[in-house]
Amino acid sequence: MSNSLKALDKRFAKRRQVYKPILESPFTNELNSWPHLKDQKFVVQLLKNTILNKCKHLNESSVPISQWPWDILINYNEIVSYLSKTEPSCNVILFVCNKDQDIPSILLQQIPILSYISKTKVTLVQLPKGSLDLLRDAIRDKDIDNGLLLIQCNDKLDSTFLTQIESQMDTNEQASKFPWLDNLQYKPTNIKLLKSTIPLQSKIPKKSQTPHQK
Amino acid sequence: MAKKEKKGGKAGQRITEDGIILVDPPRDVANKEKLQRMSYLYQLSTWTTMTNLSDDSQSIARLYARDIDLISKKSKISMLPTVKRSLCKKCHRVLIPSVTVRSEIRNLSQHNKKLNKNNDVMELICNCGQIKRFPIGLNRNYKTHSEKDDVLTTISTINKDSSDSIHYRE
Repeated sequence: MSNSLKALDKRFAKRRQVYKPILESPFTNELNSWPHLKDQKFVVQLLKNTILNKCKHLNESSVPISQWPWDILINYNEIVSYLSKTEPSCNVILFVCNKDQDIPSILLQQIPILSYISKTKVTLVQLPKGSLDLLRDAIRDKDIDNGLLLIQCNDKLDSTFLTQIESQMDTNEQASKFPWLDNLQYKPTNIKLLKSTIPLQSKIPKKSQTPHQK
Repeated sequence: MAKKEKKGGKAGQRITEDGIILVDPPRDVANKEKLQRMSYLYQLSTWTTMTNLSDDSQSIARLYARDIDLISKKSKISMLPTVKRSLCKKCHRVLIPSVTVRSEIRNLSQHNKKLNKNNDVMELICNCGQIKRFPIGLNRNYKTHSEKDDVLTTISTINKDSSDSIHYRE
């Protein structure tokens, strides 16, 4: 250890670590809310071969998204309004790049609950890290930056694609995703400790000066 | 930044290179009963909201959620941002997507018909009209302090408390 002035200065403790109790909700556990896949690589490859490669060609030939051979939604507002419909509509697959960077966490927090509550049957698929670049490469639209791709499972989509995706879903975990939305099941209080630091020396209060003091 | 621990000062005291005295996490916390009450009220409020969907005012659920707010303010108990963001500040509704809240991204910067992505704002619009705005375009990788790595620790003793592990079912 060097004996420089800086090192000597750092040897003195200035702050103290403290633990503050903080309440965490039992409902906002993201690990439980996203459905797990059996084989993520297979799903990515399937998506790439079936949808994304064709999207790339359509993009290169400058065909607008509305004229593509499938019904696809990539805009966040459109996806939310589709899932919030009061009447059940066509089943959908929703691909989400929740592991990638550049996607705000607050944006994706709503998605699992929204797809669970939705009247429409939603197959929620979380894609592995790095999938956002694949989507950006295939669909060159600024809306894809939110990492959401909704495909409607109607006559235009190959039915084997849907069955292959559904076969990869881990069905055991899906059953106990949001028990709190259906029946009252009291969960133990989830208290966490938040690490923080406080200064050792408390601030010296300023002497209150009366207006007549000089 | 890598922190090297070293012993210095008082006997057994661990001080990092940044001059922070490290201490072990406590085995118990103060105001445990109030934290448990808040957790119970939150769950009850959510359940009441989901079971009384026909009731537009959701008065009972809001009453429970208002108590959470009052307890936290009175006893200075913090909630994680994920919990705090799921409650409306104005009407005290529990914000459940497509039930009590709707979300959308807005961008009001339209100069020369070009949208600046930095001005993207996510809006959570409660049924009462109150809007929570999150400027997601400014920093898309923004994380709250509690979302950062190695900041939150758990207390194992509290979760094993027999009084808190009773399961009430409908």
